[in-house]
Amino acid sequence: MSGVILFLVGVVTLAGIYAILAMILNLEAGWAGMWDLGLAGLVAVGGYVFIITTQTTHEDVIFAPGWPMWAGAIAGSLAAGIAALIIGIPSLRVRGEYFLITTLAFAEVIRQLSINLGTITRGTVGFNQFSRPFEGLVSGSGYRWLLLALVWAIVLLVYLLMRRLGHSPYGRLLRGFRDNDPVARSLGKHTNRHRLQTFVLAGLMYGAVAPLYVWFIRTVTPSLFTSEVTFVTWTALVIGGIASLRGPVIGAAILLIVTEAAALAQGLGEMAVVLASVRFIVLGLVLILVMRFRPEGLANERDAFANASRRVEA
Amino acid sequence: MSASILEVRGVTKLFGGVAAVDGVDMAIEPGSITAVIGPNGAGKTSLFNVVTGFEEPTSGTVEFQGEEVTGLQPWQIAQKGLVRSFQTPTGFPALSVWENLMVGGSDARGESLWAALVSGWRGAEAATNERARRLLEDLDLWEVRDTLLADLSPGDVKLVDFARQLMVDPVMLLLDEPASGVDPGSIQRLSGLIRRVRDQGVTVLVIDHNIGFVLGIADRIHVMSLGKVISSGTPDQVVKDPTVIEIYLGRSA
Amino acid sequence: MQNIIFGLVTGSILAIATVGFSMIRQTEGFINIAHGQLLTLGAFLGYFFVATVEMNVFLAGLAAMVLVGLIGVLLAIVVFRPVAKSGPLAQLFTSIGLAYLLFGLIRVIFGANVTFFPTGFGRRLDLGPVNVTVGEILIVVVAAVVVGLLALFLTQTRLGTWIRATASNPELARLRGIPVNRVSYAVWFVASALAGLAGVMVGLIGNVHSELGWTQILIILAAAVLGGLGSIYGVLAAGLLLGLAMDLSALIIPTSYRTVVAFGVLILGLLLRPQGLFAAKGRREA
Repeated sequence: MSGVILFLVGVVTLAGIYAILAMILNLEAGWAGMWDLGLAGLVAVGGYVFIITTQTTHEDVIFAPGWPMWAGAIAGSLAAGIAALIIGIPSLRVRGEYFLITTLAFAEVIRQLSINLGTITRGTVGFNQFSRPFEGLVSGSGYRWLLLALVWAIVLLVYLLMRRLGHSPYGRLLRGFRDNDPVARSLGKHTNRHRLQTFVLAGLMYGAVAPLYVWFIRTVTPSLFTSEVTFVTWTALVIGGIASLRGPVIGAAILLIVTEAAALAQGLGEMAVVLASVRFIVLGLVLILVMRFRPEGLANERDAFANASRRVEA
Repeated sequence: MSASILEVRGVTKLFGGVAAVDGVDMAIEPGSITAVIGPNGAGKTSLFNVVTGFEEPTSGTVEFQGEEVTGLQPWQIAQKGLVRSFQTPTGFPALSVWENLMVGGSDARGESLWAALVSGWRGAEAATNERARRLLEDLDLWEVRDTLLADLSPGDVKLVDFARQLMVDPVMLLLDEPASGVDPGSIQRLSGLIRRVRDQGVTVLVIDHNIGFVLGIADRIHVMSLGKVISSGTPDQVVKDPTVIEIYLGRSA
Repeated sequence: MQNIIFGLVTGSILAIATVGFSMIRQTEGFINIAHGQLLTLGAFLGYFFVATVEMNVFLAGLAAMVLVGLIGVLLAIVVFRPVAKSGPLAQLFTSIGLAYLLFGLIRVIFGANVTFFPTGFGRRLDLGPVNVTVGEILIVVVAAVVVGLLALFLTQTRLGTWIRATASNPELARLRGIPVNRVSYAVWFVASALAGLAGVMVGLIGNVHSELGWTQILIILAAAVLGGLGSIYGVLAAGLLLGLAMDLSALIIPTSYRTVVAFGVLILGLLLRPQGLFAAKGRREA
């Protein structure tokens, strides 16, 4: 029985991680209108820089400075932000579907590089010997509860941050030029600069959040950062309600619980391949059904931003 | 030399082999209401696009307040005080009336990421907030201030567009078909607003198909056809010009 | 040189796969991520027909093509038609969902192992300075023939003309009385069949495994965008170009960087010409 409970703890933790990813995606895609299909690449940059800079053992890598965790997290965040800048400058020159495909292309390039630059990233072998925060405080299985609490504390933090951003003039401007770029420019707004800023901010945040994902999965390999991460995040956002405030969290919670519960119902042991396959089938079905019957998602943008003028009065 | 607030010199815009705008010269006097009329395809909107930076001219120059602005980005030209409207689609549909105006009036400081994350924006927005409130009350839009633009009637949407442009505190307004789709009663109100805005010192340049509306407010009219300006003058002069009558007024909308 | 042959083969397969993808994009108006899974399906069905049913390879390929074509039409009716009213982004996400659904189903039905076609096409021939297998020649020839047939179909038949009209202006086509539903089914059949054929070809020269769809769709996207989302000839050229680029680059850099090269070419192409190499309509940023 405790095995099931621990499994559920894991599911809820992963749901929290995806909730954060979905909230970041909501900022750049939902509010600023940038349909980013490459977020897995930015998370990869953050995760790899984090793990590489905090590694203490020097075997088969040329760079392992062994920094403390907080420094590694900052480094990962900055690296992802810089990657976003490099990707953003050319990509934002094209719009709509072209931007979508360009960001996807960059993410795939990053993944290939992580496989091929073995002397830095240890290729497909990756990293699996590393410590996690506060590990000394609790026993083995108890750590899962700690990680759960940590992740969801950060979910709350990010939610409050997004709410602040969303209700600010900055957020208002994003939701404006998302729908009508020419009018925004005719009012004197330098919309390209705002888009790039938002994209880089998203990159910084993806990178900052990557350590959580690393601590949860407990290894860092290129297969961790496939486009599946991107698509699951998008599905979570779309189910929950794109451009709303609570949508990303709701969507991630529902999606992860549904797909992982399917794995639980499948049974144990010998049906390993079918198990993994069922997860994809459920993910696909959920996305298809939501697009068919409730494409706007569960939460919506109107409710999230209603009565803006009254928030200033009083 | 000239006291023109906007000076268009020899502007030509070619699309493939076709000249949408063909060697146009135009000088707009400050504080005037000028209209540009002509049949569809005459090049009016293309001219607007060149003047406001949305298109680059194939040749020719545009000067605003004595400063050359040819080839500048639209947002740069707008920041100099030259603000245009669009025929469609208009405005920010996901934002409320109040938010639409606030976007118009906010400056880079209040809208910055830094303000959003760190320093706060209430101080920077206070004055804009006050202006928005007064303008909304003035235009009788206070009651609908929290209605999303997507939910408003077309007439009110046009009004909000106009108000949003005013929030920028423009030196000159370029209005692209402000009367299209507007009922006759609201056209009166619109004409009144345009005159009031002119009395406050703003220069206005209008494109429209509604001849009655144009004749009612314009000090000066330029008539375009096939990319060229074929006639200019006061409303009385233009109405009597035989070339204009033949090409355009004979089959007015 | 040898790599040019490889490049032609890769490029031919890519061109076949991308033409279908591009047709869907033009007439239906959205990016269909599930196209890669249809390719995988073609590969597995081809393998199944050859290995288990012991059909002749050509018949197996044809059977796989037709079957995948029909499945494509079925999916269009059941999955995509109902979402059409919600717009291209909803259809894009539906296609992503369908891709995952098909991926999962393929894994369940055919397993997650890697297999390959048991055919006798591995025999090598020496033609002057190069050395090719029969399979490789076959692929390039079949690809050329299929493209030729497709061109004839699109220009010489009534249905083909209708398809071209709908692709360039759906509204006008509808107004002119062109039966858009029939055109739609035809496009889905042809596009899916082409994907299936590409899958069979991939199976012939390489391995057949469930992950095929995901790797292929990325390169297909690159070829489609590079060729200009609105131009079939552009897409063919782009497919060949990318195939050549990927295999020629193996001369200078490790082969594991193949897809990176494809994307490098794409990104470079987009920077230089944001509308694609041969786009019918320009897509300028104001």
